Amino acid sequence: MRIGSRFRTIAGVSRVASVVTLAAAACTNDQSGYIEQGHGVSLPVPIARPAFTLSATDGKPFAFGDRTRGKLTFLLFGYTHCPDVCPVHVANIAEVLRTLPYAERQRATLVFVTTDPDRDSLPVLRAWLASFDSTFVGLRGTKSEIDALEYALQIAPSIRGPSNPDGTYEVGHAAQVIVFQPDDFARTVYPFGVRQAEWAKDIPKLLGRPPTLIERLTGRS
Amino acid sequence: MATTWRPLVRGLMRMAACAVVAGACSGGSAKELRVRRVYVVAPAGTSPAAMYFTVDNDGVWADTLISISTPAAAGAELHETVAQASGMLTMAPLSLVNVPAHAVTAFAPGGRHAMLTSPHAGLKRGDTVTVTFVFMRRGELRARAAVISYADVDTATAARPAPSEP
Repeated sequence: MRIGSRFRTIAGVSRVASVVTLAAAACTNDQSGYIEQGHGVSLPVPIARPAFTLSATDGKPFAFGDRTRGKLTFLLFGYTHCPDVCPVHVANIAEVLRTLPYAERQRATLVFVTTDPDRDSLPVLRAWLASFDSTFVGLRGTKSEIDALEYALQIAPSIRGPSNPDGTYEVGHAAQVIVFQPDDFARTVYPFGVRQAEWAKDIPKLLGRPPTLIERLTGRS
Repeated sequence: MATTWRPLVRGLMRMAACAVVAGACSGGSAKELRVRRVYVVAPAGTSPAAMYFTVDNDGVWADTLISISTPAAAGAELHETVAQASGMLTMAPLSLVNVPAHAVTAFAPGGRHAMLTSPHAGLKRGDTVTVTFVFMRRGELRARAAVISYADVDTATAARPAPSEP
């Protein structure tokens, strides 16, 4: 799972600059202090928090930029019929967020964008996310909206696989979690396979503080 | 569990193999094919459930996993998550899975898994379900699976080689 060498897409991204503003200058703007790579993959150029709007599970439009501004935000794409990668990724993050102090937990959120709008209705999405954490946000849009968003975030567009004899199908999609920090830039993405212990070590740093002794100890590896 | 009497001929072949590969048959009585760490993950929402397991083949013969079934779901399919060069993950069905001799074949997150379609609505963490594995040589092998939650998957199985066995 390679995330690197995305420079060639930057020219294309400028076409959707209204959605995403790339800020190379942010490299030097190290306000948070604790943004070393950790267990994720560093982005060659940080991504500014995008300002897209999709339908949330309550049926109302959700303006991602406004609603998540200033929060540690885990943004990932997937579909609820996925039994292996998506739920493990989401459950691992939910489990570690549960261990944060209340004030810090309020500063963190997870946004899951479905890559399977045909089967993932808003109620299906709501029920699926609620089994991990009822505060997690589920977003749904048209295939072209999701494609544009994935393109802007420099990740591969999702593809619907061939239909099985029973009418079911799988959806191929990028599985990395893009983590926007409280300063509204993403510098790191986390590929599938990150363990809870690794999240426990990295999440405090992503929030902008050094990990506590307990977090360092539980974050063995 | 499921002690199938093998034909005499196969037993003789195995004894011959034992003589050739010294130490391959530990004590001669150990089960050559063993399925362990069988976990069914309680599904999220109305989704299919995942099942992870490990097959130990201590024998001198390779075997092939043909199918899986469980009364806890309408169907079970073997799948593999495949990472594409673009960073995209896709899922591919597996019809047969080779279980090499003297090897551990793991079905773990991000790699191979069994997808249980239409799992029973009541399936919940803490339950135990029976799973039947069908191998080409060994025949049927039944195992008990613990039902865990997706949050438990991190410690119960491992996306990477496990630091320690449970």
